[in-house]
Amino acid sequence: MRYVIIGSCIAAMGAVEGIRSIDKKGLITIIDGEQRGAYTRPLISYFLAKPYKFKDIRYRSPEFLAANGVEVINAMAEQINRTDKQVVLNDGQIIPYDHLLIATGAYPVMPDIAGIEKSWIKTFYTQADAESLNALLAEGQEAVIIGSGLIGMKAAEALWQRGLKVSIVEKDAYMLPRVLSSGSAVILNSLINGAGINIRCAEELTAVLPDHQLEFASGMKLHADLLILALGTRPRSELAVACGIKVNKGIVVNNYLQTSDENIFAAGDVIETRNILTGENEIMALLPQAHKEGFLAGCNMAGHKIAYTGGIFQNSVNIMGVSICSAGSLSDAAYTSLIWKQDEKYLELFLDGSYLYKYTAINLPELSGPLTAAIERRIMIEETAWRTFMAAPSLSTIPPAYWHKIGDIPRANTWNQ
Amino acid sequence: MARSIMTPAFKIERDEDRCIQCGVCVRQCANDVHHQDEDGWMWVDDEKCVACQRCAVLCPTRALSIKEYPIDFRSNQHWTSPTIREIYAQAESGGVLLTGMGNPRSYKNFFDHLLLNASQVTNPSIDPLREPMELTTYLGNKSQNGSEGEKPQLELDIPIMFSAMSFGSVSINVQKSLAAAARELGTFWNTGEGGLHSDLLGYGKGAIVQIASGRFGVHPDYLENSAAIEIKIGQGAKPGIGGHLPGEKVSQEVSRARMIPAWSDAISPAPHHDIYSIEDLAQLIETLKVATRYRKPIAVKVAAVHNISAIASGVVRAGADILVIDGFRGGTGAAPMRIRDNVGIPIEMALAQVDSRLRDEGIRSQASLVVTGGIRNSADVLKSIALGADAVYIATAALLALGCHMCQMCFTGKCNWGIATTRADLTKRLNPIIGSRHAINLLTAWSHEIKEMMGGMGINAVESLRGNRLMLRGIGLTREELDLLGVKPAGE
Amino acid sequence: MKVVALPEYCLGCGLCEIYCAAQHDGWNGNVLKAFKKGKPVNRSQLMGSSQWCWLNTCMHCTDAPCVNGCISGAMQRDPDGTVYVDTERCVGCFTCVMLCPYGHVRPWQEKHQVIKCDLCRDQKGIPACVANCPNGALQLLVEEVDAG
Ligand SMILES: Cc1cc2nc3c(=O)[nH]c(=O)nc-3n(C[C@H](O)[C@H](O)[C@H](O)COP(=O)(O)OP(=O)(O)OC[C@H]3O[C@@H](n4cnc5c(N)ncnc54)[C@H](O)[C@@H]3O)c2cc1C
Ligand code: SF4
Ligand code: SF4
Repeated sequence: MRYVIIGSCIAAMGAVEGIRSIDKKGLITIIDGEQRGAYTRPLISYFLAKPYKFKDIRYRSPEFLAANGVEVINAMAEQINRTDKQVVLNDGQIIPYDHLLIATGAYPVMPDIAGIEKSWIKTFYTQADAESLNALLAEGQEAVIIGSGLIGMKAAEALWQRGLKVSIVEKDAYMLPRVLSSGSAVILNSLINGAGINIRCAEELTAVLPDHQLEFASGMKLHADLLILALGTRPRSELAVACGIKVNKGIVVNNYLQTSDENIFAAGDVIETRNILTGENEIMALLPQAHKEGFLAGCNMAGHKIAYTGGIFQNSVNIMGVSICSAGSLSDAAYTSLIWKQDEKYLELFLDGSYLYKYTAINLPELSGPLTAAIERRIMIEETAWRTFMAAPSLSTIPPAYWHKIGDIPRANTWNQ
Repeated sequence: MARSIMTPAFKIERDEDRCIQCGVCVRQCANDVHHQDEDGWMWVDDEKCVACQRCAVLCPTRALSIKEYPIDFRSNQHWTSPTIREIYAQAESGGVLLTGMGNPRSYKNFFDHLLLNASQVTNPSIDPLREPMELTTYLGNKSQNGSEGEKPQLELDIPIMFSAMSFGSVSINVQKSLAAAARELGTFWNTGEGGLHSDLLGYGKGAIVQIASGRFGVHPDYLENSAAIEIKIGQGAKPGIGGHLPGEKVSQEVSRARMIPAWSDAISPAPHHDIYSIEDLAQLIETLKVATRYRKPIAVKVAAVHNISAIASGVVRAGADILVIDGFRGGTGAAPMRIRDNVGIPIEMALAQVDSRLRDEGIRSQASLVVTGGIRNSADVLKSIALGADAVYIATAALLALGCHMCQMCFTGKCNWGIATTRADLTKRLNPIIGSRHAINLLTAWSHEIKEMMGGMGINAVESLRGNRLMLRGIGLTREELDLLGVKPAGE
Repeated sequence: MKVVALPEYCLGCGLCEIYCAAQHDGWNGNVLKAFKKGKPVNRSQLMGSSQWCWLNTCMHCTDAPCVNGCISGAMQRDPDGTVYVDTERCVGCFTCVMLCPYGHVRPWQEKHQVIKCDLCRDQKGIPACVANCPNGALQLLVEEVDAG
């Protein structure tokens, strides 16, 4: 069996682990277009904040690849030839495959604005992005970040740590709109504003004027020595589109992470994932998801059928010393929201009947694990039990029903008759 | 309330160089002796300490020691310190002094005045590691009279059983430990008078179930699901009085097992109200035999009191298959101190007298003799057998094996070792897996010792030792005591 | 291999936490020294109330969500199957915390990292918590390690 993987980051590493959990011999070839090895994207902000400390942001080491007998080709895949089951590379090489994995990840979204191609305007997506920003920035400069998603927030924090004056501009009514609710955003806003980052919401960038001036829809103008675009990502699916496999918002895969071509699999940011809570297919550009999908795709490529039922949005991030954990998502239904607040801690649950659909926890990371699992595993817990828990939320007050239903805690054989 | 006129009984010493303020002592003391304040400082309330040693045993740095409070009354042979303190306690409370476990007084201990024999030259001793040693014992009526055929017998792999301790007076985990140990050891445990907890239904066939004056938890299945039935007339720790399980100990579970309302006092009357004569007792015994279709031996348990041999004779004639005698050192969950310390007679005397009396009357084979009350070790077991017992029951020794530290506060229900309590948070402190292992270890060790001592005497079956008082010699006993015990003095 | 907690026999005494803390960070199990000279930190934590409590141990999941989801590759499984954090690499994002259904991995605030049970992998013998539980409420469960 010959496995070929396009892309060499998270989903790709998951796939290597998945394949090798079943097939110890088959040939694995990785096509690494970025030519940086298996590094981890989230750590680029740590690199930017402390370049001396985070020089090495590898996700898996070269030894890992060697130990797993993986061949790495540093080139871009240009075309997939499905009839001959080959991948054509930009250096002219042709690589045959039995099973192919597309793990090409995503692109940062670019706004459709004139004058955006400037040396001081950057996206924040790759190690190269981070390195060029590192070369460019100087203490005391003014940096503006467009988009208050996780990437924008981490970029803002890194620049702030490097001594820049940082502003974040968000189009929506409040920051981190995918993660927070209006209530939790207020808390976070004040914590982060208080720490020295300026946040402006409900503002949309419309133009880049000469002399580092930015213009917004409301008429507001800002000066920026550095502008970072963090508007989100879109799947890097053009290879798939070109070879005629089914692509929607992202590459469409079945429960076994197979595309419309049974020999081609896809995983990671490039696919659309079924949201367990809503049943909708969505783009979930999340690292744990990418690894899991990659792993399962690998297993399936190696012939072990394991179904992937989908995922939920889940994120944990620390910004300026504030921990934000959130998981789940809401549809249009009416939810019961339970809120607990104390000093700089905040917890909000969204329930529909006896099911938890979403939570946001600020400065309460220790509770996030069980809450995430309660959502992901659809654990039924009475609303009254949740209310009791919310009177004094702690690991010890997690509704007992949760521990019973999580079930797989092995209880060793105790005293019996 | 005025300040007490008593000093505390114990003093807790905390070695500050060792204490790491971990709080284990605070969390483990059910008597609220230890306390940690907001600044992390550790405090003790000596008054509340009962010297159960739970904290000292668990302290990870051995920072704690517990001493008798270092204060002496002016020495006085008559007005001893306990005597004075008891008066203070009664002066302050106005109540009967309650206590737990057995009589601690320094009455003469006859076991300690008896010596065992060993073979030399003429009749060779036996090496138990090379030759078989028989400890199997049968309990029941062994007389064959006519048509009736063989009477039901209990078969014991070792002549030691676990004595009656009711669920309620002890925790369910004590019963679980002993029930499991008894099964493993090939012997029996006794439910006591508290009925059978549903968790233990599977251990019914290894149990001697008790019927006491309160008749708690007695129903057809209870009688059926058993190895034998024991009618409890009296108890060595408190002969002549009934029992009183305070309402606080009657938890939902206790209430289910005893078939009485939860949180109500469980009162066992002093007498059985249907037994005022040997004839009445005979009637109950016969009723139970009929109810269980003559398949189970019926035991009767009485306390060792002054005229025990006449009582024993009556009980055997009433049809008891096993006669259990509980000596004055027998333990209990709760007893008035004056009764525990002043009523009854030593088991050694009672046993020797009863065995002789039954032999003299030619009815010894109609009933097995089981003694209990203060058996401390394998030597006590062997001496009991040589004095005439078929088997012994142990209770206090078993509880010690489960972790009891003899603080004698059983009656408070706050046993820190999870033994004499029904509180769920305390009960779980005794893991029955560990408990049963300890009980098994103890009796395994004892049976090794018994075999060794028997081998030394040149005896290879416990049968041959029973009532063999020639294997005993008295030391430091008066002529009269020797006569009563039926043993010769050392040297004779 | 994992440590299994039995709430029905857990006393909540806390000796597991104490010995766990003293077993790590170079204290070598010397409780007295660890607590007198430093501020040792326990890996596993006691949970619940005095009525119903247990040591929240790591299941060392075969398909460990924390390992799979770790954004830096710090959370790993060693060849024996023990899941541990490489403190050289952990950036303290708490993704693993969010992914552990047992609430076992938890933030180590002082270090801006996470902390979890490593089965005392740096020492020989059974884990300190199991060795020092007074009531057999912690048991070491040894099972076949999944070859994968
Ligand atoms: C700054 C930042 C912070 C983040 N923080 C978090 C976080 O805290 N938590 C979280 O869950 N997620 C986070 N994410 C998202 C996370 O990084 C992604 O979900 C994850 O990297 C997706 O992995 P992937 O393997 O699907 O894709 P990618 O990591 O994007 O890898 C795809 C690789 O394929 C290569 N490639 C593409 N096309 C080709 C081709 N034709 N030929 C060869 N190679 C090709 C690309 O160059 C790239 O190297 C963050 C992302 C960024 C940018
Ligand atoms: S920390 Fe949690 S998720 Fe990770 S292996 Fe342990 S139990 Fe599993
Ligand atoms: S906190 Fe550390 S170990 Fe946990 S996911 Fe983040 S980097 Fe990995």
